[in-house]
Amino acid sequence: MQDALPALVLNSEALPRNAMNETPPTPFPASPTSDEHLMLAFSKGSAESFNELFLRYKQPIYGFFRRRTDDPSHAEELTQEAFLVLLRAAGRYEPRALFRTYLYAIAFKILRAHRRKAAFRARFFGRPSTIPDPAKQDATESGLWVRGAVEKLEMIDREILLLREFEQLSYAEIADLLQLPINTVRSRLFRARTALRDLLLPQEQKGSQNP
Amino acid sequence: MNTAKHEFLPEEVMAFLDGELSPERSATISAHIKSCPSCSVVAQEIRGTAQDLANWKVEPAPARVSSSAIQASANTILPPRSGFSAYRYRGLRLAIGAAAAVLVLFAIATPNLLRSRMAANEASAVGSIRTINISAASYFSSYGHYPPSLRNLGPSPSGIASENGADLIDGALAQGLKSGYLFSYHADSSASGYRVSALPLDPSKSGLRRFFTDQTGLIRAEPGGVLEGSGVEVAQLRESGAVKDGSVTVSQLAVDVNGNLERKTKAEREAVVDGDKGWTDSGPMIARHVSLSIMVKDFAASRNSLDAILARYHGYAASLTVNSPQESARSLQASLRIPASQLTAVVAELKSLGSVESEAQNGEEVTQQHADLVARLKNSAETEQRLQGILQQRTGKVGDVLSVEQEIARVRGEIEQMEAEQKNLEHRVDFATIDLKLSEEYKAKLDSPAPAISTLIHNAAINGYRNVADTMLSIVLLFAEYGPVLCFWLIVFFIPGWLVWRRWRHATAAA
Repeated sequence: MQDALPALVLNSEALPRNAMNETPPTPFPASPTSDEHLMLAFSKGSAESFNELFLRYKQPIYGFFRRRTDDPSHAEELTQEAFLVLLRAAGRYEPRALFRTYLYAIAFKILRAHRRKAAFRARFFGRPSTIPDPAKQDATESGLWVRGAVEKLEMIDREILLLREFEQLSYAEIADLLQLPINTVRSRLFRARTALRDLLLPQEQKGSQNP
Repeated sequence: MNTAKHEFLPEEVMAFLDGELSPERSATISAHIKSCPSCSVVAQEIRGTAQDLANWKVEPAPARVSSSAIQASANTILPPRSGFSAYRYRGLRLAIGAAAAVLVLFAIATPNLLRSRMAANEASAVGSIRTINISAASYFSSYGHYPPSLRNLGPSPSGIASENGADLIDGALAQGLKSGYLFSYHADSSASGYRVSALPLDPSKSGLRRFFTDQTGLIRAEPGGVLEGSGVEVAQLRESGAVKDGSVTVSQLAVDVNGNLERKTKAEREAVVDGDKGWTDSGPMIARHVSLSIMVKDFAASRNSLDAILARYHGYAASLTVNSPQESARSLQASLRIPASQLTAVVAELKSLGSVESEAQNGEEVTQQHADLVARLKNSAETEQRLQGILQQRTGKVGDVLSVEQEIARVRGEIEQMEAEQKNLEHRVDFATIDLKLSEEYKAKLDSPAPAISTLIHNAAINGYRNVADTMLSIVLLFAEYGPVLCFWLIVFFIPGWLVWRRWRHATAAA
């Protein structure tokens, strides 16, 4: 699956939301093929609905974890775990919000649990000795450069930026997920974008801007 | 960017680009961006950053991550849960589990804790009664009568021990309340005796048994019987008959709290001794002691024979205990006091009751001790006579007369004390002691059917119900007593702990 362009480009002015992002297009909720309808059908026993949802969200969820973990195998395990939780919780699903918001909330909780366990292991057993396979790392030089710049951002700012740019969550959804005021989300997102712009500027350009 | 010159903040420009503004606001800001170079630059920069981010691509998800594999693992490894999920209500489930564990621990530990506390309270009550007995005896020796109330034994308001406050017991006990027990003290009208009762304030919590005592120093418990070896020095056994009450022993061992006075009246003594002395002034004085253990075939007949022997030889039982357990052999233990001259005949008759399993005899010669006592008594009597003669002459000053009277009182006290010792000594010689143990040769009875199974089940069910009720009551009482304190400490520790835990989670999530 082709990795998508950031949401900012998609949502600005003329382009329809999510049109080219890795996040799948969300049909109108009333549509019988919407995520919410598929999830309700799955909760009533339709395995085909789950397959369809899986096809739609496999790559976005994998990308969600891949951008937040160093090891591809961890991203793979966490992706499976997220869908496993979705499958087990299907009986209690209620379409009170967009399905993708619901799914990303599950993924975010799994990610936090993974980080807690990793921090615990690192504290008591030291850092893991396994080194991720370089061949599976971000292939392009520009990708590594962007990743390095993003990692320099403050943790909350980084998370807000990623949720907005790659997961296509709205300000309100991000605020709900991170339990932050919506104005805080907006100001931090602006700060993150400004800081990232400075980090991504070539050194020579920085020099010319600051004689 | 100088925001003071612009209608819109850069954050609003960003929100417009993110599609977070209303259509009306979006139209306004869109027109503004086209006409405002600064806002246009901001928009271009944000778009440029987004283009850069687009370079961060992620490889395709591995083919191992498949829908069928996930559904298979959900069906085989862990069945779907219909109730709580693994990630919802996790804290609630932990709290419920912890509460259940605490409840189980309380249910197990509470009855034992309550029993331990009640046992400690009962032990404390017995100790307090002993203290009262000893203090009352001390008070008696100091002031010539027993205290009219417990307060008279307590601390003196002036700090100096007096009749109103002898400072012999602590203030709490003098108030009549200590360790969950209420102590009631009643003195005789002539202050020649007293009675003390110790009742638990809450029979289900502070103690089960009630305790009683009087000027004899004997401590009784209800339910339970007599508490022997009450800590005070046992001077001698007082003479009285013993009473059998089924399998419950009502011994009448008397403890002389004064340690050296036997408070038997002269009339009682003469009635018992019956003028039949076992010693002579010229012969040695021997206090004799015999121990007998006899196995009898007919326990009831032997019991009657024992009573007949005692009546015939003018003896009595200082203490007597009969145990009559069901489906087992009965036994009798008694301490008999027999006129010394009749000892040989009584022992022979007792041996005839059954087969003798063990026998031991010993004698303590107290002749020298008695002779010394008689001599000292004689000297004191002569001294008293001389003092009486001096007092009758009345030739000295008033102060001298008073001194003589005080000396006469002191000598009189010594004489009475020595007379009591003499009588006690003579009584030990007059009456030999026989420690008797009668055991029955038990024969199982065929006509005593075992309890029916239904009866056993019925009794077990009732006991089980009582245990459950006691446990529930204990838990309720414990929570009523310690619940507020537990809640307080829970609040004190839980809120800071929860804040620390939340902070730690955020910190680890950021790692």
